Amino acid sequence: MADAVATTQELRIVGQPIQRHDARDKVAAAMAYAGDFALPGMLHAFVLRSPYPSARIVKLDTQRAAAMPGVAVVLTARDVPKNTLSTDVPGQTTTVGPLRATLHVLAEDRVRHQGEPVALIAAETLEQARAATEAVDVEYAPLPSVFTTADALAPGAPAVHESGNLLAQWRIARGDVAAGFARAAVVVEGEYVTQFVDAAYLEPESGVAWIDSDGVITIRLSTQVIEHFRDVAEVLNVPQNRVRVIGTYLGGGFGGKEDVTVEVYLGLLALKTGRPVKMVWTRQESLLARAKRHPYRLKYRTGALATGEIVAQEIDLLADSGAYAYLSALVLLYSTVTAAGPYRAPNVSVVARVAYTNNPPTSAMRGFGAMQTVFGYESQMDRVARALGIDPVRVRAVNTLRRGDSLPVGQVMETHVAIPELARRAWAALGTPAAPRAPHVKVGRGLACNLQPYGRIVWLHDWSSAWIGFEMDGSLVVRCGAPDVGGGQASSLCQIASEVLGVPLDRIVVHVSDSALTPLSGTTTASRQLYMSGNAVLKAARELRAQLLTVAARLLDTDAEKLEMIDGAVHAPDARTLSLRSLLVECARASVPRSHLGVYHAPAGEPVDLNAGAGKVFPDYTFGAHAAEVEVDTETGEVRVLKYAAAHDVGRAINPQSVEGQIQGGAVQGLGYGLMEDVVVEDGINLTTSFATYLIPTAADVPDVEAIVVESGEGLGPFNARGIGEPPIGPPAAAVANAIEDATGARMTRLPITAERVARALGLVTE
Amino acid sequence: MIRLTVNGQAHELDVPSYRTLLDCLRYDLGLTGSKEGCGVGVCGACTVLLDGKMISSCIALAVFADGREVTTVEGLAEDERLHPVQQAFMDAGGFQCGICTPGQVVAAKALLDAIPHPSEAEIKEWMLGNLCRCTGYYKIVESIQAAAGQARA
Amino acid sequence: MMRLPPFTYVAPRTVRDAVAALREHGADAMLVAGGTDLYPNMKRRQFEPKVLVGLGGVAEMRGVRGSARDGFTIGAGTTLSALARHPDIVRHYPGLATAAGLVSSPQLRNMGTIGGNLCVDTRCNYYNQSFAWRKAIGFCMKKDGEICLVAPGSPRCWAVSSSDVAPVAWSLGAKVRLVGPAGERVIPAEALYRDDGIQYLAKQPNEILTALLLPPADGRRSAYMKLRRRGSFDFPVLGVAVSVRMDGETVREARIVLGAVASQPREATKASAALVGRQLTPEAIDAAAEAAAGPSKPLDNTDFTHPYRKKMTRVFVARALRRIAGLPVSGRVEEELA
Repeated sequence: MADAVATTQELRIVGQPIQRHDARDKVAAAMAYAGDFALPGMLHAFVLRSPYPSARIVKLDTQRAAAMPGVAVVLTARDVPKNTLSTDVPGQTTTVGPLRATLHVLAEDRVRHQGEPVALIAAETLEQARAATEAVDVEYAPLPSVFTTADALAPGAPAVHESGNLLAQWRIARGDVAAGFARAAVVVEGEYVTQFVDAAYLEPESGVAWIDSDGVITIRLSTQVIEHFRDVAEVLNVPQNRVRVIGTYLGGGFGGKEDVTVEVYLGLLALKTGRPVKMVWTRQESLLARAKRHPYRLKYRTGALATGEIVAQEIDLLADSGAYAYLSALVLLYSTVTAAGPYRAPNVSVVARVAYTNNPPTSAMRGFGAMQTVFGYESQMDRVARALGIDPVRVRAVNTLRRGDSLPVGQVMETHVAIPELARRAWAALGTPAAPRAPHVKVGRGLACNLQPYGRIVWLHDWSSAWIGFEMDGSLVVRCGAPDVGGGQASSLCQIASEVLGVPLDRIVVHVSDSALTPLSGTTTASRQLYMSGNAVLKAARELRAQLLTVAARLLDTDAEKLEMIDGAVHAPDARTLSLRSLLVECARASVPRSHLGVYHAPAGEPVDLNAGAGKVFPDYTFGAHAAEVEVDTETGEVRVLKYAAAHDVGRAINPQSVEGQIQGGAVQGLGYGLMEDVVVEDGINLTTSFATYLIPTAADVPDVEAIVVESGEGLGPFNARGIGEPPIGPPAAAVANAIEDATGARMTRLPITAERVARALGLVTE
Repeated sequence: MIRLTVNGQAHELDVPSYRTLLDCLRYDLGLTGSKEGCGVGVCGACTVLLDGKMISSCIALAVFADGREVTTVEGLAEDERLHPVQQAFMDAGGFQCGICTPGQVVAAKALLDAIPHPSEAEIKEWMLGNLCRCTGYYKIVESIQAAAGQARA
Repeated sequence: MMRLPPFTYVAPRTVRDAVAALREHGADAMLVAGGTDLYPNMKRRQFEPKVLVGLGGVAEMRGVRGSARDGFTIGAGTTLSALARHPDIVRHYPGLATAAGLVSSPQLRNMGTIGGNLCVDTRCNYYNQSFAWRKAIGFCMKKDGEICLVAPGSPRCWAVSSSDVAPVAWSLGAKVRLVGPAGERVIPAEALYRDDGIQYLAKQPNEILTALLLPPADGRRSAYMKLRRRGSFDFPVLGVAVSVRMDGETVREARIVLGAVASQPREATKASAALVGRQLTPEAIDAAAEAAAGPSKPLDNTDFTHPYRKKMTRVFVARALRRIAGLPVSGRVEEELA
C-alpha cells in the first residue's frame, strides 16, 4: 500500500484526456501488427486440427505431406521435445498446486475437442502449406463423448480425462441459510443459462518467429502474456533465456490471447527449420480453436425481508470447461467469490463446479467468471424488488456492502463501495422515459450493478517492474514488459512518468512487451496492468526523482523536498530553475544514476480456506452500475436498447478519454453477450466459425453508451486508480433482462436474449 | 499483367487471377494498412476505395481492379498532413486497439465525400459494415461528427 | 488465412463474348459479377471452378433505362447500391429499392449486383461451412455428399433461397432476360426459380441473366420487409415482398411473395387472392396475413426456428400491407425501410 499512496499535490498530466502516443500510427495505419510483419526467406505455417470432438488417432502419416512441393517440415507429437504445455496462471512465477493444468502441444493418441491441434506444417508459401496440411493422412476412430455438463457429471459418463469429469469445485458456507429463509418475507428462485462466447477481436492470432543472430529463438506475436517465453522454452527443452517474446501492440485481446496461441508452434518450427516462420490463423480457425467464455448454469434461491434486505442466498453454479482445464478452476473461483454480488450476504451457501466435456475448451475472457454471475445475482435482485414493490435503486442501496463488511468468502471490503451512488446516477441518466411508438411496442427500464476484482489472486504474489531512465538531452525512456492490448496501457505509463518527473509527454518514449529488453511486468489481464505496472512506473519515477533532486538540491543550495520538476526543469521555491540537461550532466559527474528500476509487489496473502469462509482473495474490486431503457416489439420479440448509461467508480481516471472508451466498449461487448453473441455447438461441433454466423454488434445495433466516470479517490492503483478493463462488461445482460421484464412482464433467463426467445417468453410462439 | 493505380501511383503487376485485391495490396505492394479480419467480407477491416466507392478488398480480385483506381488508408494523408477524418479519430479517441481503424477511416472518408454533413443515423447506417470490438462505436461516431464539423469550417 | 483456390479469370467486354467464354469452358466455368457471394463460397470450397467468367467489364449489362409508363430495364450488372438509391426505382418500385438496400453491408452493396442477388446461392447451416468442417460432419448432397443433413432420408436438398430481391421481382411481376448460345429469352421472374436447394435456378448453366425487366409502374405500390438477427450483413431469415395495384380504393391486383422460407421464393396465392376486390382495411390486411402464413413452411436450417419464422410471416405481411395502405406501422423492421 505504501507504494501506492497518492500525491497530495495538484496533478498536471494525470487526469487529462491526453492524446495517446500510438494514436497517429493507428489512424495512419503505420502500426506494424503481428500479422503485418515479414522477414526475408520466411516460411508459412499451418496447424492441422482435429475435425472430431472425441476420437482416437489410429493413423497419422505425414510422409506424403512432407514430400510435397515447398514443404519444409511436418511435425507431430513425436517431434516435440516436451509435448506438455502448462496452461495454469500464465505470467506468474509462483505455482498454484492443485490448479495445475496442462495439455499436449500436439495430440498424441487421442483428441478431445474439435479443433485440437494434431500436426504442424511449414512451407515456402501459404498455398503450399495449406495443400500439405490436407495431405497429412490421419485416421480417427470415434470415442464415446459427452457434450453437456449434466451428462458429464452423471454416473457412468464417458471420461474426458482419466481424472474424471469434475475438474474443480469450490464451496462457501456462511451463517445459517435455513434460518435466513425462515425469516424471509419473500423467496425468489431462478435458474439462468449462459452461452459460449468468443473474444472476437478483429486481429486473429498471429506472429513471426526466427532465430536471431544471438542464437535466441525470437517470437514476435500478438499476446497478452510475454511470459509465455518460459512455456515455449519448456516445450522446446531449451533454457528459458534462449527464448525471447516480443509482444506487438495487439489488435484486441479480451482474454483470448492470455493463453498460449501461436508462440509454441512458431518456436518449434523455427527451431526445427532454422528459418523464420509466420503463422496467422484464419478467422475460421480462431473461432474454432480458441478457448471461449464458459457457459454457466446458475441456480439462485434468494430470501429477503419486506424491507428488501437479503437474508438468505442459496447458489449453485455449474460451468462447462470444454475438453481441457486451461484457467477453468480459477474462472470458477472468481464466480464463487462474486456469486452474491456487491451485497451483504449474512447467510449464504455457494456450490460451484466446473466439468470437462468434449466441447470447445473455455478459459479467460473479459469478466473471467465474475460476469456470468452478474446475470444471476442481478436478475434475482430485480425479482426481489419487483416481488416487494421496492424501487430498483433502493433495493440495491439497502443491500450494498459497506467498508468493513465482508464478502461471503470472508474478504473484508477495504475501499469505498460506491454502488448506491453509481446506481442513482446511472438510473437518473436515462432521463425522461421514451413514449412507446406504437401500441405493440413496450418500453421498460432495468438496472444492474456489479463488482469485478482487479489484480490477481493474492496468493499468486503478483508483481510488476518498470525501468525509467533519462537520456542526456533530458528526454525520458520508459521500459515496461506490459503488453498494450489497445486500452492505452502504454500511454498511461507515460502519463504517470510525466506527472512525477515533469517531462512533457512528447519527450517520453515507452518500450513495452519484450521479454528480453523490458523488465517483466506480468500479464495484461485481470484488469491488472494499470494497477500493477502503473504502480511500478510510479515507484520507479518517484525513486528516480528523489535520486535526481538530491543532486539538484545541492546545486540550488536548498532542500530537495522544496523542489518541483515541471516542464523539463527543476524549480526552486524562489523561482530559480535548473535545466534537466544541466542536472543530468551533474549526475553523470557525481556518479548518480539517471535511471531506476521500480518493482511493485501487490498485497500478498496465503490461500484461503473457502469452506472456513475467512480470507482475502483479491487485492480489491471495481464497482459499477448500468441502466438500460429498452423497447420490446411485442409482436416480434425484437428488443432495441434505446438508452444506456454505465457508471463506474474508477478511483481516479488517469486518462478520462481512455476510461470512457473502456466503459463504452465494455458495455457494448456486454450488450452483444446479452442480446446476440452465441457460439453454437452441436454435439461438440462448432456451427459458428465465421463472422457471418458468429454475430457481434455493429454500429447500428447499439445505443450511445453514456459513460459516467466516478472518482472516489480510493483504489490501489497509481494515484488511487482502480482497474477498469473488465468491469464494464458485467452488467449489460442483466440490465437488459431487467428492462425487458419491466416492459413486458417476461423474465428472460437464457442468453443471448434473441427475438425468438422473447417471443416465446411472451407466448407468441408455443410450438 | 494488370495495371492498378494505388493512392495515385501506377503499378503494373503480374499476379495470379485468384489473388485477392487485399493480398495484392498487402503482399505485392507492401501496403499492410488494410487488414484481414474475417476473409469473407463481413467485418470491414479490409475496406478500400475502388474508383472512389468503398468495397471489401478481401473478396475482390486484384484482376477485377485492373485499370481502376484504388485508395487505401495509406493514401489518405497528404505527406505529413493527416486527412481530417484521421485527425478527428485521433482527437476524439475513435480507436483503441486500432486494428479496425484503417477500415473505419476509409469508410468515414467515403461517407464525408458522399454526404459532407451526415446525421447520426446516416453515420451509423453508412458505418455498419465496419465492425469494432473495442470502442462500442461511440467515439467512432463522435470522430466522424467532428470531422464533418472540421470540413464545414 | 483463407485463400481462393486457383482458377483462370476471363473478363469479356460484351454479353456475346461472355456467352462464348461460357460455351468454350463448359462445366469448368462459372459466372461471377460482384463476387460477394461466390468468393466466400469458393474460399470454403463450395465451388471449385477452373474458369471464372467475370461480368464486371460488360458495360451493356449496367444501368437503369426506361420510364414509369413503359417499365424499366435494369442491367444485371447494376450494383445494389446504385439500384437502392436510383430515384425512379425508389419512387415507383420502393419494395425493390428497399430490398436492394438491405442486402449485407454498404461495402458489399457497392460490389454486389442485382443479377448476382437474383441468382445468389441457396443457404443452409450444414452447407455454408468450411471444407474441413463439412468433411468432419459428413458432406451433404448439395456439395460432395449424398444425403441431406437437415432432413435425413430426403431425396432432395432443402437449402434456402436467400435473395432479398428475388421475392420482390416476383411480386412485381418482373421478367428476366437470359442470353445463351441459342439466343435470348425472356421469362417471368418466378419461372427463374426451382424448388430444389441444388438446382434452384431454371436458367441453363450456359445462359447469362443480363437484365431484370420491370413492368410499367401503373399505380403499383410495393414494400419489402426483412427479418434477420442483427441490423446488417446478415442474409434474410424471412423476406416479405408485397406488391399491390389499386383501382381507386379497391385492390385490383395483389402479390405477396415470401423469401427465405424454401429453396425458392414462395407466393402466398391465397393471401393475395383474399385482398383482390377489397379495400386495404385493417381487417382485410389481418385476414391476408393469416392466410400468408400458410405457404411458409421453413425448415430449421437457418437462424430462428420454423415456428417462430412462421409466426413472423404473419406479422411481417401485415406490416408490409399496412405500409402500402398508409396505415401506421412501427417496429424495427420498419426503420430499416428508411
